[in-house]
Amino acid sequence: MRKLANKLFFIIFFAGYLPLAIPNLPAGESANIGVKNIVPRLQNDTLIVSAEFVNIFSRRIIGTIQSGLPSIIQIEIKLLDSRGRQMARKFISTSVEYDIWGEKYYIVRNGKRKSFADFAAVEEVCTRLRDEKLFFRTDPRDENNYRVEIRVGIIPISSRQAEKVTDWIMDPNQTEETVASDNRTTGFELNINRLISFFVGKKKGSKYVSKWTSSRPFRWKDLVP
Amino acid sequence: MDKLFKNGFFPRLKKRPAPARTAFACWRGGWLLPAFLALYCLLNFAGTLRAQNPPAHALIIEGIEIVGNHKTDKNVIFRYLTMAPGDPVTPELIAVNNRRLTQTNFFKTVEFYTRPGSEKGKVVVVIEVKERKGPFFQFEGGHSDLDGWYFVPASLRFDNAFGGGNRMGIKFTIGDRLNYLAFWYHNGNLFHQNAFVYLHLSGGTLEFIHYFGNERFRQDVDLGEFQVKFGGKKGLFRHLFGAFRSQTFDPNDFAIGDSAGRIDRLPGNIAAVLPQMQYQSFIVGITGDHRDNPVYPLNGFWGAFTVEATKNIDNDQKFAKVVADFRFFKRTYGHNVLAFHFKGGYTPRQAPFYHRFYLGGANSLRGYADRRLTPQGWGTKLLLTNAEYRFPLSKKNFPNYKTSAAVFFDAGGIWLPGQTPKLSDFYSSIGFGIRVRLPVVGTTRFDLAFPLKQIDHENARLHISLGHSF
Repeated sequence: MRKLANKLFFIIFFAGYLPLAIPNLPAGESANIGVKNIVPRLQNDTLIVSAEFVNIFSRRIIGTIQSGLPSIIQIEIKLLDSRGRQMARKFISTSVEYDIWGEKYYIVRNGKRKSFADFAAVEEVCTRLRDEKLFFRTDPRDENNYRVEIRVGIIPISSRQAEKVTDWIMDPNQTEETVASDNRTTGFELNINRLISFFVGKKKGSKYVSKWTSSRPFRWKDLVP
Repeated sequence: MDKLFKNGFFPRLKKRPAPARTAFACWRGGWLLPAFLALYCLLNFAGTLRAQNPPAHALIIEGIEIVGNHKTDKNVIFRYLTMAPGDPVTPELIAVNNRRLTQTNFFKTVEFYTRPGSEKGKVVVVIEVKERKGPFFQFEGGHSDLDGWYFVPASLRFDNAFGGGNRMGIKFTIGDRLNYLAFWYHNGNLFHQNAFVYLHLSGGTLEFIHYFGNERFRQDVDLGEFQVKFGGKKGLFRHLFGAFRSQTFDPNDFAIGDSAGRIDRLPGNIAAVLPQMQYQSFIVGITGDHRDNPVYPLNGFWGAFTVEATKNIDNDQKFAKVVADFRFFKRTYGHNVLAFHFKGGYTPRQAPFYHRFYLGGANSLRGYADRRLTPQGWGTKLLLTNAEYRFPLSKKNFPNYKTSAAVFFDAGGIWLPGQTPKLSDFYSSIGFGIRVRLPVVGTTRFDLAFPLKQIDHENARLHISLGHSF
């Protein structure tokens, strides 16, 4: 019995790992979100950044917003030096909402609420990053090369919870016996495929989060004021 | 009304003027009450209006569409949703339902969208799922009284393989005291989701512990088992289940001691059941779970009562086994809880040691090693009580507290056939413990227990296990 069990163990073990080796196919109803035209500028010794985002609003996201439920756009900006060290990092979170009774769109950022009459205007605002302050230059003689990296993502109503892997790991499926038995058992279960595909999937990017996009390298003196 | 007149609530209708001071008091009271009543009526009216019309910004679900389910029946998905057409929808509600569907492990991805409905304020919820085509791989682990710590490094799950929401799997379990391979299947949709069936087929080796004097011995027992279990899911039937179980036991005819070497001549009550034997059992049970939550119950009751009738196919001997297990929870102050557990069992002398009871351990009577209080040949009568006073050490995340603690008192006794239980036979312990929520494994329990009747000159024992003690 034990020998049979050991043989079957190896069969299960390899059969179990095989599906993990099969790569995930790219997800995809629509084109992936992207960042382009990153333009760093210097204004009063402060590095300001502008950029454009593409494919943020898929048909589904627009439908969700227009049905009255909010979506959240998150922009992440980094300033890296020539050795890849992070000099500055900034997160910008913007909520896009639609009041179906008042028929107005709202963009909420940093607690400020701005209204718009049509979605085209919302799209115009949300697909551009304009003159965002990132870093205060302290040494004007600095000759080092720098670059700015940006990524953008949109969170439709529900995915925020679904992608919080920390919650999931901290809240495992702890199992307990349901009837009286001589052998009181408490255990846990962890879906390995889900854990691996979460991390593999993150590296590949998804239709909701763009890849990191980099500006051309620059020196402070090269920047247009 | 006369009283109102007398007290001056309607001063204008009074025929006789009152003395000046009284008149002033009447005037003041006379205006206040009507004003109060008017305000009350106004608020009530406004409240009625509010109750009749939903809040201005409530979005109502007009319909739920499911996309991407090629093999999965829509009803399987609806079974896990807590929302339905006509319900108000919020981002939080959608997040909860997304989580519920994701946790089924039936799907690789679950995404929720909405689109405008046929009229203002109505929303169509679209659920897009990507089905899992192959099986998935699971890592499991746990702790039990009999088996000690165990891990399942290779568990293959074929959940929802045929789209009906059934669960099945095959797993290889290794642990302190066990090593087995099992196949199981669970179908919770019998009779329009009113009943479930569970099948379990396994084979492997279990290690049984015997104490001969103060020395601990281990005996391997090969076990093959088939079990089929039926139970209700709704109404009164959800408290009932019945099962058939067929088991073949093949114990080793020797035991190995921790330090005393190997024993080839086992005591009589163990030696009598050394040949391979097959048993068939019919089991019926009643269960009830009225806890307010299963993770950290504040109030409620959990109980199970099972009766087994077993026949030894090889020698036609029959015996029964009865087990009662009750747990009570009562909130005292804040989230402090008084918890009480009672377990009792009885089986006659015909039951072999592997069908009898044990005592001692992290989930049994703390303060003593696993099964340390079990008599030679194992017990046929068992009484066990645990009393705990639980209190959280962290404030957030009820009921999934990161840390909580307990002080406890355990008492119990175990007896061989022919022995009459006496109060002096009872063992007891007191202690305290903390429970910490760890990643992956969940609530982990550390209990330090002090036996009140010492064995092996041990003053204290630390138990580590998963989950609350009961």
